Amino acid sequence: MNDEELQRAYLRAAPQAPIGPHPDPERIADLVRGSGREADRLALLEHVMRCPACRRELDLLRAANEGARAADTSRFPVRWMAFAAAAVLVIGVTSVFLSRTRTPVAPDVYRGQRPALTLVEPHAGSTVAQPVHLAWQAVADARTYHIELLSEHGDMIAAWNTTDTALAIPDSVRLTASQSYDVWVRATLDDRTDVSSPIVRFSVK
Amino acid sequence: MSTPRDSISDELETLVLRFARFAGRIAHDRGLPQEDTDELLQELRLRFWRARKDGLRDLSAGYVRRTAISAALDIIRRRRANRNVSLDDDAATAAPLASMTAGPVELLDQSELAQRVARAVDALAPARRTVVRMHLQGYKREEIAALLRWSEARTRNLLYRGLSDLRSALVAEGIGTREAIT
Repeated sequence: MNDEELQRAYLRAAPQAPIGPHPDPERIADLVRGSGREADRLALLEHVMRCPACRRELDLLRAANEGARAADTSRFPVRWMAFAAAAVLVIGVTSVFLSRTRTPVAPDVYRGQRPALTLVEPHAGSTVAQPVHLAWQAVADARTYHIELLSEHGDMIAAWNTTDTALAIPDSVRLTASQSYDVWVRATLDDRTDVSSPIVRFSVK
Repeated sequence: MSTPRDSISDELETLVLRFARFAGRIAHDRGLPQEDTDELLQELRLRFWRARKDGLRDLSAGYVRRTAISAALDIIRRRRANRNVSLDDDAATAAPLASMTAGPVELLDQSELAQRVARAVDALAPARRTVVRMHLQGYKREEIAALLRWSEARTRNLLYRGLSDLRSALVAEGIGTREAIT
């Protein structure tokens, strides 16, 4: 089943009885404010996601929070807004000028389809010897590649930035034999957008 | 008689309108009823107007945020206290129980499938379960990460693993194919 089919089936299920009583609204507001311990947030969201009434309250609080945040960004004094607009214009014109003078060949332009990023090494599910070598397919217009190594529980172990398309995990990162790890790569393109690879899980010998 | 809206300064009204635009996006994405955002905006206008009347000169970012959340909390508390405005009535946002064109046998199949998917989600490991629930409810990955205060990578990883576990559980029940898991 693809994501859409799963979503349709899940939403079609009869509303489940929420776990326990409705939480105090102040606790739901804490979620939106970003306070509280992770275990509490998970327990609270578990209730909220199963309870249409609390979900509506969460979304109302999120709307209030996001609205306030966005409204605030508009409250620069007018003279600063004018200065910022002028600065953006100058930077934009300079960038266009520099890119035209320094780049003899126009870069590839992607229309519709985003470029894909695929890890070549290690293969998903493989067990590899140390030092572990990572390699991925080059992405046209990639400015840098950001690589993240995660534990199987999703905790970040290490991250690197490189302009290359390969990387050997250094000895300073201690990987445990028989343990599983996840790795993924994100390319930042010239237009400052990102392209990410799927997460690949591997084990070490 | 002048209304609060008539009296509010241009600056306040600009602030409220900008607030409305961004709050409205979330409300639209999440299918919040229009009455929710209308009530929130009205509450906010009143509070800003009162604050200005009481001599508040500077509407700092912290003040706007505190006021907006406090306004939303008051609406929620009022509604909880008055169950005539039922929060449990989710008719505006609930998904249809089944396709309107489905026949009785198909309806039964869809309902059975829905219950199996719901049970399989219930059986997932805790952190993955919550992320998968949020995803299936239509929350974007960045929204999930923000609410759980997780990194993009961690959210993505747990969601990916959770969906994979879910599909494996469903395949074990004869729903879907093994190729769909990876």
